[in-house]
Amino acid sequence: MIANAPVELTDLAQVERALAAHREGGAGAVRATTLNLIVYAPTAEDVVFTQHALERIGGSRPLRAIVATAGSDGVRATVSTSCWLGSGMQQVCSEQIFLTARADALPSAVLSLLVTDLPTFTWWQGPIPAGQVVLADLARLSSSTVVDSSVSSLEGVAGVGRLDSWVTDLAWLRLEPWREAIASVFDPVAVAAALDDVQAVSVAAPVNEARLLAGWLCSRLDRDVVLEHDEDIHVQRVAVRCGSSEYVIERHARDHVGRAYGPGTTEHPIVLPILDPSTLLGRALDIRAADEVFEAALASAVGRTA
Amino acid sequence: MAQVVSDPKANPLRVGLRAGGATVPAVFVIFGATGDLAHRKLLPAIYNLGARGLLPNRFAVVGYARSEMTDDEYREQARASLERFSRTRIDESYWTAFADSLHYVSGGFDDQDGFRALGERLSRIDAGHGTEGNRVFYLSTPASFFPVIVSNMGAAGLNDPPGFARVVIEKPFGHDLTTARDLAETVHQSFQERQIYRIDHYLGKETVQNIFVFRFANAIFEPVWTNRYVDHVQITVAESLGVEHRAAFYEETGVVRDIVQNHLLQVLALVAMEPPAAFEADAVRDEKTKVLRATRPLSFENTVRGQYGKGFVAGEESSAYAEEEGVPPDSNTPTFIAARMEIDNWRWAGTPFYIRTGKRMPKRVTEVAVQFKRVPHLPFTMGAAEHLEANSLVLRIQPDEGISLRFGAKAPSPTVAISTVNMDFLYGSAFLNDVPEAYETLILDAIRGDRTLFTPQDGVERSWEICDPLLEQWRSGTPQVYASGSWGPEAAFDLITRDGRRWRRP
Repeated sequence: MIANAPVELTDLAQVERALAAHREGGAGAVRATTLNLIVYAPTAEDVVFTQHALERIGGSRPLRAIVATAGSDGVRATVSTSCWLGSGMQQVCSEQIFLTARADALPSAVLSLLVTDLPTFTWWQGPIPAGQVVLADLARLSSSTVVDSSVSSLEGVAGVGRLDSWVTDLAWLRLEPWREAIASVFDPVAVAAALDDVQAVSVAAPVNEARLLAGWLCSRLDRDVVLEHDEDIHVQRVAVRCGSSEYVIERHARDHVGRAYGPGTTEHPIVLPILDPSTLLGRALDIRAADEVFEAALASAVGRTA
Repeated sequence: MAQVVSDPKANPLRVGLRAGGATVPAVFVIFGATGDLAHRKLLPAIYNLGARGLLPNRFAVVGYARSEMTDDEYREQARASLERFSRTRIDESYWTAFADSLHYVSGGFDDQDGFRALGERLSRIDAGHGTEGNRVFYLSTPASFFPVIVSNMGAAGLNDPPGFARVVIEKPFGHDLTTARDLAETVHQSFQERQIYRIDHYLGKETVQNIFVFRFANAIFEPVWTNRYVDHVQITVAESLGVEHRAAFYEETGVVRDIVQNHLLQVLALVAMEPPAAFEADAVRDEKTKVLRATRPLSFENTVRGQYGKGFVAGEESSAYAEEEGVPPDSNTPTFIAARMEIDNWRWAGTPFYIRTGKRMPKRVTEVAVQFKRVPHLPFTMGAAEHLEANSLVLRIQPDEGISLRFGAKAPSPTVAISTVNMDFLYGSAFLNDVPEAYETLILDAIRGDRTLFTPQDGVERSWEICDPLLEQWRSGTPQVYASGSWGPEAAFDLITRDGRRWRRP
């Protein structure tokens, strides 16, 4: 990665000129940008975490990131460009604007910095507080708001879903290999019939991920499914009970490959990739429409207690 | 055997999952499992698909070849191939599961007992891996073995397993129209056309598929993509290498069979086809075949053939084709062709397609250049637009895949002075993603049963109908020698300049 030296500015009108100067300095006069990413980073740790995430995803998704932090002084922006070299020496470049302003001034400052008419995402880090005005204002600027229910409440996530943009939950994306594994167990016609008898699901996982999985089963099968939850720091085991039969997907520790077994199905390995936060964020930015399956699962999960 | 579903109606948990992966269990059988293609391309492609979670969960691979070997020995060979040729590093936790899914059966291609043993082994694998009797057979062998393998598969009942059976065959699909039909007849004795997947790895390249997306996902280009606005189209497929160690193959093949009959005509079809109703196998393949049916056969009068002589490519001295090891000194095998082609349909009548392809060109490049007509009237003084060139749109397929648009712009000046400028877009500057190998795309499609990127028999036959008359005429005479590192013989330039046009310099 090649990064231009950051430029500090107090006049947002100078931001575009500074970025253009960076392009002429090495990245070429023509740029390719595919999206705007607004990041709300309330603390210095969040800013550092965001920088790392942007370094991981910027090479595959040229974007303009506006990292917004609430402060007590006037508006300040630090502008930089990072470029990644591909084969054939092409460069993929992303722009970062680290913005500090009073909380009530942040949305208008962000709005002035968005690249025109591109898909815009807001990544809200951390818990979702009730009645959060900044989140509502930023969501209004975006087509999608990215949150993580593993650090927030499902009720809070459902609240974000009622704002102007659709919501993408990183915890839901983390569950995708498990949902795929569960679905694959019921692919054979002989086993698919057992879906009519699903009564309970036992999940060893963080609580909100367990609730989402149970909510997903309820909403997809259109029936009540009892959740039996064992707390774990990652999803480790899911057992779906259908009458007297049990279908199990489990993995040992943090292995990438687990196994699936149950009556009428041959025990087989299952790829269960462990997705880091940057990969999940990248996937979230590839979603360009509301996920109705997630919305139904979330609606079913909210109010459910483990 | 249980029928397997991946239908959201039968399994509601499937809704919204695995848009890109395969879900139906299957065994992938490689004939020629110890060969170069299997080790360099097929095993790494299958491994990478599995490591990305794109293979069915119940899946196995069976290698079949003459060498005596145990499963474990084949797994060791596979591991060594992955270490050498895989585009990703081996993930140890996935390797264990992948290795368990690898099996090997020893037998000759003409050995009926070997095929029966293979059948019995596949049944046991179904029981062990839950693969439900579904088979994808990949013929990774020289084409001369296709008939005997397919015939023995039929005799052993491998074409009629409890689940589905698909057979993937590699080009060349015959040597001419007659042999292509003979091959099809042989394969059709054991497999129906819908079970046959004719693979041309060129069509699995992301860059080639992008032609389709560029044309049919953007509203602004298609309206001008006709003879009304397009003056002519140039398709260049240039290689900087010579025949290297493939002299014996190339002597039998030549440039028309090697590149034109398959890759180049497929690119031409993608550029010239009508929009299909859907990006689905039958719709896409029908439109491609239709435009090939409207394409006039190559004619002696509108082609130039060449053979590379001595010269320099990128500063390196290169020998002549006739001096290559394994090439007879008096060989008249062409290594270059330039041709003027015409498509007799409503969209393209009167707009020629110039093609050229050859070995030992100045550089490796594949591109499609759409040259537009000039504006009907220039409202500027001659001096202002003296050097203004017509618009052109170039689709670069390799290397540096991208799009270049040439247009006129006012140069800064107190008077009107128009300059030609190029606006370049590199795909690599927008998407630095991990690009899958063509074989990964095509193998996954074969497992999923998606035939969109595979060539149908009627398309193969039409391609031969386009090439055969020229191949017949070229049986006599000799190609013109061109210097290695040049863009072909002088006659290739005359071919286009006689129409008042000129080749682009890629």
